[in-house]
Parts: sequence; structure tokens; C-alpha cells
Amino acid sequence: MAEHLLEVKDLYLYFRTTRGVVQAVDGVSFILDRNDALAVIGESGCGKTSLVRAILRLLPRNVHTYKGSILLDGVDIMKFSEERFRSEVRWTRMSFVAQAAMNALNPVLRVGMQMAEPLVIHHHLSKQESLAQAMEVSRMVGLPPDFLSRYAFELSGGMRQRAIIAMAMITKPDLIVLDEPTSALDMLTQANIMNVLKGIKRDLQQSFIFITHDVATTSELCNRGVVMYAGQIAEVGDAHQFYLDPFHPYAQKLMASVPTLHQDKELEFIPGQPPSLLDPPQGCRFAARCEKRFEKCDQEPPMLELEDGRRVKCWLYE
Amino acid sequence: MQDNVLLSVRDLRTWFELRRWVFARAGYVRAVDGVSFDLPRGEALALVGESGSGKTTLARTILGLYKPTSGEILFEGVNLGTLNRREMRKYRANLGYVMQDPYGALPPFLSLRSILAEPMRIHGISDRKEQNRRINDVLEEVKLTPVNDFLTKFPHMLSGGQQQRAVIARAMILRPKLIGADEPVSMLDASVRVEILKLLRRIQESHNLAVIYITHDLSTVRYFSERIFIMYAAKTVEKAPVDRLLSNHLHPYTKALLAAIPDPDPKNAETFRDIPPGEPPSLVNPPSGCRFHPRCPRAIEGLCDVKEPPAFEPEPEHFVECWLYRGEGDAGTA
Repeated sequence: MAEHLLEVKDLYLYFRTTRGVVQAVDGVSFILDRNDALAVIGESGCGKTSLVRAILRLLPRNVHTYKGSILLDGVDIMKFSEERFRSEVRWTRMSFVAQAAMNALNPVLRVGMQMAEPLVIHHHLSKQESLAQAMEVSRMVGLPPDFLSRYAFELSGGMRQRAIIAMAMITKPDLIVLDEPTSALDMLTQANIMNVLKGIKRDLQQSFIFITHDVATTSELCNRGVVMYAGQIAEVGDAHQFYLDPFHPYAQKLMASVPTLHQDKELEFIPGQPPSLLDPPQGCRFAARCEKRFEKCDQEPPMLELEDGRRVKCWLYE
Repeated sequence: MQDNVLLSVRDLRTWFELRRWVFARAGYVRAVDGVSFDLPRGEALALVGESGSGKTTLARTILGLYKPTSGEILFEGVNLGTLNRREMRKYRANLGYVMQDPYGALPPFLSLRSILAEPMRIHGISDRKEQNRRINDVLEEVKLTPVNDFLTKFPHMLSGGQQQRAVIARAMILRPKLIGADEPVSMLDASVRVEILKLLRRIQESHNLAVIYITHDLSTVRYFSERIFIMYAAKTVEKAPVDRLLSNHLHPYTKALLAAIPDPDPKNAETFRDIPPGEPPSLVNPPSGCRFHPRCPRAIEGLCDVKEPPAFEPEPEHFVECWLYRGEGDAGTA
């Protein structure tokens, strides 16, 4: 077993569009250990979802550049052929809960069969065995067994989301990637789903990547966090650094814009807009909106490793 | 009645008929079922609840978009039920509506100027000079400046935050007295959200507007409203000023709701949250008695499942529809 479960190094994903090349993921590196839950947060259009698509190799047709290395247990899966990736990595070792996936359940297949399908396809199990395992994971996510014989429309949003999470767990993958798993759900349902995910993390030592723009929800699960801005990582740190004491000026502003229910604070917002990824600025990408900008910001800052283990892409901490 | 009251709602019910085939009545969806309150001028009221709790229907009924099944809505003392169509149109000039999806709310083939001129045209403000003056004022107010750059733009040329500003500008152009804002920021990014909410708050204060702010996001409420109504299954289960509700929430549903909402804090990952089991009931066939009783950890057998609780007032201006507070203060109706 390699030291880290997942090691992403200098990952690039550019898309070709009619208006030019969109630099959606631009040199992203991070590490994920076993039983880690990593939050990836940032504004819409900062490249969060593209990052996931790059890791899971779920790419659209208009890819311009796709390079870098992704080590899963020390093996570079970027070198795998499409067929090998599909059969050995996607859904067997890394599974995915997409945004609003609960609305993507097949309406004419019973839910249990849909949950069992990855086993039939990837592990070549029989229908009976697969259904038995579907029963097992559905118990873990709190989906009553009799729901397995129902159709998707007979289930509430929360129950459908549980079914999707069960589906992602059924092959016992090393890593589950969650893309906005709760944002379409109601508050109590959301809290319930987060309880389910916490349980899976505790009982099965499951690793997660959790992508969302809802910072508060990630704190329910994650022990590490990444802040993305304009296709790049601005800061990486453990939960304490990330939620309570971020260093990067963008991360600080972002945290200050999160409304809190239980404590009173002055809310801030970030004036201006993120730069276009068609033609990102030369130096630091946040410089145009940054209050602490100085001359050096015209050049691109390196990713600095600080003593307390966090990494920050900002000249202030040089 | 005080002069200061802009809007009074009395035992309002909005039910939607369910039909089987074309004629046979299959029942009703009781989307709003017995809501009463007064809204003073200049006050921001937050309606908080899960989807399907009736908060949007309540606001849309007040805005005259749905016809109430029973009950009264009085706007400046005038009962809306007695208005004919022309009077209703005039009444609507007092109202602005800011909806959730700004892009969907703006016609894609009209320039910003035409979008803002349209409500004035409908309401008989045809003088071009007056139109331009108002458009200019309102765009400056929502900070879409320099104004001349924006007048010719089409909705798709604006960012999400700018689109929502345009929607707010359109809601303000007839100088309304009441604005309904239905999840105005839920489609926007966190960093823009606060900006838009602060803008709404500033407009509300400078024009002494009443605002009905509909949201499922309780954490924004404390910053942007004076009073909160918690809705559950078509009823307002708890009504109180913001501070009082946050510091001393009484209804078991409110308690569950507040306990479910995290602040960003690394400690959250270590604890499991206590969430009541089950899901909100069907509004076609709501449970007897208190609608929360099947999920309530403190339900009193023989009372909560039988008799619907009235609004008790355990402390001034704090109403709660829950039998637990039956000893404390008299049942009020406000």
C-alpha cells in the first residue's frame, strides 16, 4: 500500500469552446489519505466540478488539454487505457454521487436492482448475490429493505439520495466523490444524510472528496479542505485551519461571507467577479479583488508550504 | 387597527383542488391552512420552512397570484377579496416580487431598459422623461452603474448577481410598499449572496418597505429580518422576533430545525445530529391534531394527536402553536 490513497499532481483540464480555451483546472495538486474527507469549496465556475470530472475521467468531447498525474494507491491511473480505467477504477475503486443524482434514477427499474447493477457489471456477481448486498448497504444508509422493490417515483428526495449513496458504496470503493450531495434537499433531510455519511466514514473508514459551495455542510464531514479559485487551489489545510483560521485572502473573505446561525458576526462579501477562465490574469488570479494586494502580486505566487502543514498560494506568506 | 399596519392576514387558507379525470374532485392540497398575522410598514418578515411547507403559496396568495380559498387579506385596510380586476391591477402596483431564478425571471429578448419600462407602461406611466428618470434612479440604487452601459444589455450579458439586481430594480420601479422575495439568493454564490441581501436590506430601510423574505436558509435570516415565522405543513407553528426565536425557540419543530443547521466548525464532524424521524406529512391528508405530532419527541398522547393546537403566547409577541405551552399565557390569535 502506498503512503497516500490519492495523490493528484499538476493536473490540467482545458476545454475547447467557440470563444477559446477554458482553463477549468489549471495545475492542481493535492493529497488525500485513507479515511480522509476532503472538502473542495469555491464559487461556481471555479473548476470544482471539472476537477472531479478530471479525477474520475468523466470528460466531455471538447477536451483541449488533459494532463498531469493521479496516483491511486501509488499507481498512476492517468496512464490507464479508457477500457482499463472503466473496468478497474471507475465505480470499483472510485465512485461518484453527482449533483441532483437522485433525479437521475431510472424510472422503470426497481431501486434495489439499480443499486445492485454495479456489482453485476463490475464484479460479475449473480442477481441474487447483488441484491443481497444491496440490502446490506441500504441498511447502512437507513433505507428500509422494502424500499428496494419500489420504483424511484415512490421514494421521497431524501430516500432517493440515500439510494444513490448506497449505490456509490456497494462496490466498496476506496474513494467516494460527492458533488453537492445535499444541496437539493431540505434542511432536516440534509442533516440526516450528513449523519449517514458520518456513519459510513466512522464505521467503514471510508474516504471522501466533498464538493460544494455550502461551507457549513462540509464541516459536518470533512477533516481537510481545499479552497479553489479560478481553476487553481488557493489554500489547503486541515479542518481547524480551513474553517476557523484561513490564511489566503480569498479563503478569509469566503469564510467571512458564510452566515452563521448560532453566533452573530458581521457578514462580508467579495466585490467584483472571478476572472474569466478563457483568459485568466497573469499574476495572482485573485489580485484584482484582493484588499491586501501589493507589487509582487503581478507575478504568479508559488504554492507555499507553511510550517503548520497548510499550503497557501499567496505572496503574503513568503 | 393601528395605522402602521400595512398588511393583515386573517385565517388565510389557500387550497388547491385535486381532480380525478376532469370533473371528479379527489380532494384538496391544503397548501396554506389557517394563517393570520399583521405586517407593519417597513418590517422584514422571514417565512422559513422546508419545501412544501406552504411558504411560497402564502406569499403568492398575498401578492394576488393565487386566490385564497377562505380568509381575508387586508392591504392598508382594504379587503382584497372585494376588489374587481381593475382595482386588483392597481393594487399590484404596491407590490414587488423578486423570485428565485433571476435568469428565468428576465425575458431574454428584451434589453434592460425595456424590461424596466414594461411595468410602467402597464401601469400608465407613459411619459418617457419620467420613465427614464425612474429607470436611472432605480439602477443607481441597485448599483448597476454606469447606468447607460447597462440600459442596452440583455439578461444573458449579466452575471448572476447583476441579473438578480435587475430583478430587484424591476420590482422597485413602481415604488411598491411591499416586496415579496422568494429565495432571492439561493441560486447565487456565497460571496454574492451577502451582497444581494445587504442591498435588499438597504433598499428596505431607505424606502420603509415591508418585505416578505421566503427562505429555507435560517442562517441568513438573523441578518436580514425583524421577525421569523416558522412554517410546517401549511401552518405557522412559531412566530417571533428574530432574536427571541433564536435565543428561546419553543416549538419542537423549530428546535429540530435549529439543531440541524451547522455553522462552519471542525467540531461538527465529531458529533451526530439528533434529527426527528420521518418526513413532513402530505397536505392532502394532514395528520389529525398537531401536524408535527407523528415526528415529535414530546408529543402528548390523547392531546397532540387529537386536537389542533391554537397559538399560545408564552411571552409577548412570541406565538407558538404547541400544546406544551398551554399553561403559559392565553391562546391568542394574532
